Amino acid sequence: MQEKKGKGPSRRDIIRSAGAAAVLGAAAGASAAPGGAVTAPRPPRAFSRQAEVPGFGKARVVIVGGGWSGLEVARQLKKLKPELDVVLIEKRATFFSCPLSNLWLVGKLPLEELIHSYTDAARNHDYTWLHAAVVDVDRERRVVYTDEGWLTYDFLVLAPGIDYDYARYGVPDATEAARLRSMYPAAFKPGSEHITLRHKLENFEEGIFLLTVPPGNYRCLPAPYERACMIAGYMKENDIKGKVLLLDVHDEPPFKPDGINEAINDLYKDHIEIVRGVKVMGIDVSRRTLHTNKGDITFDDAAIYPPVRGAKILERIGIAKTDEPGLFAHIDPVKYHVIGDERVFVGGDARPMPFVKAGFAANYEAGHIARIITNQMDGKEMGPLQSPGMMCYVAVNADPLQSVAFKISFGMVYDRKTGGYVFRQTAQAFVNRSRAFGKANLQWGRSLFNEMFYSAL
Amino acid sequence: MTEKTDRRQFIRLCGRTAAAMAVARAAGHRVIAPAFALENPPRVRLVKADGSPLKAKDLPLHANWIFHYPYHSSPALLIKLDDPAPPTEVEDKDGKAYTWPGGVGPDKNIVAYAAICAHALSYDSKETAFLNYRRERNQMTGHGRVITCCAHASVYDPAAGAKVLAGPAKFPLAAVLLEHRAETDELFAVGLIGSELYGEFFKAYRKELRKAFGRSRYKKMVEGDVVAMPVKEYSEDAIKC
Ligand SMILES: Cc1cc2nc3c(=O)[nH]c(=O)nc-3n(C[C@H](O)[C@H](O)[C@H](O)COP(=O)(O)OP(=O)(O)OC[C@H]3O[C@@H](n4cnc5c(N)ncnc54)[C@H](O)[C@@H]3O)c2cc1C
Ligand code: FES
Repeated sequence: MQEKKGKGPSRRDIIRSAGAAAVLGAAAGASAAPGGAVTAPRPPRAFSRQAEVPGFGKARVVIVGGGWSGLEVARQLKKLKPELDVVLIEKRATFFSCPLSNLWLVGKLPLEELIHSYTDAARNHDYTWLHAAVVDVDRERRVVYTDEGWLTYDFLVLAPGIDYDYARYGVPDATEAARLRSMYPAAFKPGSEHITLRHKLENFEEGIFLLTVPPGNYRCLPAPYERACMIAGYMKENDIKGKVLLLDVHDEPPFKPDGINEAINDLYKDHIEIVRGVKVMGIDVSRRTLHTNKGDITFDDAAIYPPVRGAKILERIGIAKTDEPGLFAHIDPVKYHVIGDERVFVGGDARPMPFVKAGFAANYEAGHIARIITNQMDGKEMGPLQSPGMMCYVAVNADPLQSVAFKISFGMVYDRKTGGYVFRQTAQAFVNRSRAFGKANLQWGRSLFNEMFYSAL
Repeated sequence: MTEKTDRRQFIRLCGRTAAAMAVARAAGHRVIAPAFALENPPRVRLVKADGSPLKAKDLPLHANWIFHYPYHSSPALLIKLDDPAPPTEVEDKDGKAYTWPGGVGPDKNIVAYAAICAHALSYDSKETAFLNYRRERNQMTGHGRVITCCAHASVYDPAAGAKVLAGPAKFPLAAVLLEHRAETDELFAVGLIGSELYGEFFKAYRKELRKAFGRSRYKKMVEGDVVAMPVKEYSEDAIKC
């Protein structure tokens, strides 16, 4: 369906949402005044029930979030100490991969390549999957509360990923942000948003399809560029009179863009326009307009990628770094535990360290976190993380599939001058796009899916 | 490890594997038997695409060749290095040491390894060879004369039992044991040691292996003569990274 253009919520929408609020209010015993003020309801009953997970009487590690980080922490823990009771809590029913999703977006990869079963992962790696959403953590009593009941832990790993921060795009109002998110979803969190974006493309008739590149260490630096290439290729292939307008806040992208720029020049001159140095300062959803430092910019359809922040659960349970806009986890950057609590760890894109927010980084780091935990159980110390150089690929042409490559290493190194650890990341770019790299791009993902869900290697 | 337990373990290895390892022992190296060696490995002769025997002297220096061993579907790289490769001690996936018995041939420089990555099982197929040996230093890894897997950039040293030099892999590629018959200059693949990955390999790629090598044939062991050829002739894309 094409987006409804230029209208605010209809009268019927308002009635429907008022009705929903009334139902909710009644169920929770809260009172909702017309206009929205809600007094706090009592806590839901789920809090007082124990979650139905097998108890093994062994040390239990609970992992919150079954994304690229959490899945790998769970797998590695069982590899290192098969006797551990490992419980992975994930609220989604099915895994959906962000990596490789840009190829699926334009119909060049079947959905079954991206979606995988948490049941498979748990059964092949011998841990428990609890299909639930974590709502709170009592760190004093070592209890995790979920909508399926509570459970205790000996160690806790939080890998909940990111949330969007629309306030930094000049949309501080929660209702307006929610509307923006449903009308022009970023599709940088796995699942439904991606499906919506695909439907938007399939229904796109003509005009400007807008993408944004946010400031800060956003999730997957080259992904907005990869997506621009894929969408432009789709427009070209289907003879759509349109173009991708990519608004990048940076004057130079925060990664080595040569191979991607070259592809854009060679392949998509007529279908991609990049404007750099664009700061988004406000968004008028109804008018499909961005207010920016370069004036107002209108679009026909869009996937608006705002700055990212640590997943909200971190803030809710009081372990977010509230003095920084990213609200990422407040952890020791070398030992990975929450400051002041050596039983709670945070990994993946929720970490505060400025590593690339990428699946391969989360995956490699997960092995390190698992080792920190098992070492701690064995009374052993663990050195800082230093990743080897690893390849990652960025698709620039969908048909024939061609990608460019990067090799990245990251970690914390000891700094003699300060006597502390400093962050270090190196990246090299392989700029020549090729079919061979396209194949490697697919295998990069497939082999990691195999590890996370199936292989006992 | 004492000489005594060493010998006992050694005898437990099947005849062919033990014989191939004994070469290293005869050369005066301390030999640690691997925890894993393929049981009843086939003994196959390597031949060229035209069916004639592949002689050690026919294999070009810095060859990046492929053959299938021990199963019809499991690829292995055949490499001729420029220097003799002496036996080397390496560690398997459980951290257990074993001796890789070194290169074979008149110059002790011909080696073979499973072309199945010890990181996440990427392998060399007709469509794509992810693992390749290259002589030249590559700009990404900075290493020359190494086997690189381009799925995530694991780098292995073929002159040292495929020890990991860089990248996310944690243990060496499995080693194919070779035998060189001096009288005829022929090469034979006779065993496989190191880390067992074939169970996981079949599990991961069953569908495509069946399609490429036959419904049941894919997991049958090779026998008789096995064709070896340059990777760039076998695979559509030999990836360089
Ligand atoms: C379009 C796109 C392309 C990308 N391409 C690449 C690429 O090619 N290579 C690469 O390396 N990276 C890529 N990335 C980045 C990669 O997806 C992320 O870096 C990676 O997913 C981070 O892993 P994570 O586990 O921290 O977060 P996620 O994978 O987002 O996982 C977090 C999980 O936690 C769950 N969760 C959150 N809160 C709760 C709760 N309260 N209770 C229960 N469960 C909860 C969520 O449902 C989610 O499943 C791409 C990302 C995008 C969006
Ligand atoms: S599969 Fe070979 S490097 Fe990952």
